[in-house]
Amino acid sequence: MSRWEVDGREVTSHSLWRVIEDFENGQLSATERDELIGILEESRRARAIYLEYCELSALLQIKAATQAEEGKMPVVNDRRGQRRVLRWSVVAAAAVIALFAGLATFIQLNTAEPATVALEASSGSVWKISGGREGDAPEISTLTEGSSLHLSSGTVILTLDSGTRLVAQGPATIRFPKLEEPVIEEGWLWADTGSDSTELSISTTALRFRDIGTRFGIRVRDDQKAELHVIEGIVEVLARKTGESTKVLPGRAGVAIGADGGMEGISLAADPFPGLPALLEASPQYATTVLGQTPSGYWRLGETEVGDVANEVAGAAMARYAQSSNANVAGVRPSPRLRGFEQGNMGAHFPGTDVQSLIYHLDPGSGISPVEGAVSFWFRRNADIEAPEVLWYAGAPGGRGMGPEPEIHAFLSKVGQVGFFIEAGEKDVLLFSEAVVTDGQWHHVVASWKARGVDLFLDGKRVARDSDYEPAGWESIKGNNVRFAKTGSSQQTLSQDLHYFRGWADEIAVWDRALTEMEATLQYEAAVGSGS
Amino acid sequence: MDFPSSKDDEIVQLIVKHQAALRAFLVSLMPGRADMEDLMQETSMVIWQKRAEFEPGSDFKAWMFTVARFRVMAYWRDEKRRKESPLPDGLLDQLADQAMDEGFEGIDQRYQFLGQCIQGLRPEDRGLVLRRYLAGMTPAQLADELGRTSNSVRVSLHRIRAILRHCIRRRANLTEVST
Repeated sequence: MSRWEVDGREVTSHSLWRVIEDFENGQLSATERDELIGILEESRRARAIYLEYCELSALLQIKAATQAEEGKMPVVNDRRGQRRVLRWSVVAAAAVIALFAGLATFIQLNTAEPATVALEASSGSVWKISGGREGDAPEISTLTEGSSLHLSSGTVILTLDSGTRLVAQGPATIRFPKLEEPVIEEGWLWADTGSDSTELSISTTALRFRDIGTRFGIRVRDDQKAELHVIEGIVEVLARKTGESTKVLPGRAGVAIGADGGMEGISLAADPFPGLPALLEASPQYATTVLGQTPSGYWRLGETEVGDVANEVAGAAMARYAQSSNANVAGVRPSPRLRGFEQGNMGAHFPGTDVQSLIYHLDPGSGISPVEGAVSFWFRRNADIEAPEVLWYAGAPGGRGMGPEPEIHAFLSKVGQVGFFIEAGEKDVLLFSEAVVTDGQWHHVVASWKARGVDLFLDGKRVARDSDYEPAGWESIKGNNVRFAKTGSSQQTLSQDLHYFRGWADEIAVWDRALTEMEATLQYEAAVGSGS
Repeated sequence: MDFPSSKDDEIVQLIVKHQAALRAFLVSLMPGRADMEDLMQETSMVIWQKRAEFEPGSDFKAWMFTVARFRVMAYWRDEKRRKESPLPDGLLDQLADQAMDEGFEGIDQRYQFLGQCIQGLRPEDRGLVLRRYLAGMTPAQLADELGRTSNSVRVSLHRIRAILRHCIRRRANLTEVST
């Protein structure tokens, strides 16, 4: 859904589409019609939407005529019989008012169109609706009151009739006992209610959030605490257990809220709304799928020269190439094996010759936490591996790759296995793939960690898992200390030290949550692309 | 008896090929007007009458749009209809210019997608939206026929069109990637 301004008025393609529809139906007042004409006169983009609308009308005319000619016109339920019953019941109500007033209401409810919401999803999203209706085609779904949305991966947008937009980010489960009163069981739900919509209330098991004209996000975490991130306006939080309510204003931090309403500050999550138009319009490719999984940082490495590296996540920090690394080299590109990339996709090359062969500052701003997170990237390495080499690294400035300093990193073993390490005190995590990766081809890596679940995925398949992980207490690693192709140390003297990476990298992304197996697999499937 | 020349055959094929684009062009300049069908017929007839003026190999669609544009402008400039025009002349020109620039490229493929997307609708929704466009029935007329409120039909049609729009766009994106 795109929105832009015309003469200081905010216009969305959704609202404009609706107004054009009323215009076609002759249902606009003179003032509304003049306003529409003004927008169309001022904006080429608005005229493009108008022409798109008219094209659909024309195609529907042709389709309807064709179906009628072929005798395939579907039957529409004629409810005039029901209406007659209603009229009769209203007349009868004069005699038995209480009884028939109830009957009339009942019949009216049955004849009314049930409230439904069209659902839009980013490409690569996987979801299911239970208790409601689901279209035959995967991208056509409507959500009704009483249904539940189970989002395994990706981003789903619902626009209610009031204009309120809800954005679910997977993995998430959200029930809709009423469309304006969703209940989050797990995962993220963002809301943008605008300034003139009806009241929205979002619930979790322990809390109720009442919106007061605002834009905000709520996440129900594994520990059942709820996070609240207010971008604009005010949100009132009611703790069911104590009955106490608190109003939360926008700020630089979000809050984690316990069942008793107690709050602690946390990093403010990125507002997803500015990125939605691009996300929805994007073609289904690897990059779209990654963005749909809402990373906290995503560096596509498309730069043509060394320097700053753009972050695809709106508002998140840029990374930086060091001098000896090379930008403007071929990244993962379309091939018979991998079709989900653009022609001309760029990547990075690391000669591995000195301490300046790296990308650093791969930190979205919130840092890399040992408690929970994930990283994914592509790499290509020739066969001549002589020493273990570091791929992605988040750790202490002096870290060489095997602790005892705080470190999380992905690496290549001396024989070419992909590995993943987390420093966790007495029970460090050390995972390896069985396969060696010395074929000179691009390979996809996902590493994901949270308590009792560290996973390493190679080319879409889980290759190693540690179910005993207990996060250490060290602080998040930030800024310069999150890197690709080099550890925190400039020394490479010991045989077990991780050496500089020599090869190519592309599409580095990090998350502040663990990824599921399905999400790791979907990334790789998106890279493999359609038709295979 | 005169047999059609090969140029006539070509003109017939071109008229048929660009019927959907011509219809979309006319709908955009005559929104919600039942007499659009008359203009559609008239334009096709004028194109046939003027076929000798068309140079083979030149842009037939642009020529067809130009003919249609003059017909529409003449229609709205008729004294009896001037006050009925839903759009001012300046905007009509802007819309015609933009439509001619963009030419409804890819409309045939989108028509195929529409057919697939319509099959994904619930039967009652499919019936509703097709009836709306079969005879140009307004939501109020449909509501009366179906025993529903006008607003309820309007909301249903809006939802159905939103679903179709999204579905067609998604399929177009998918096709773009796979080709």
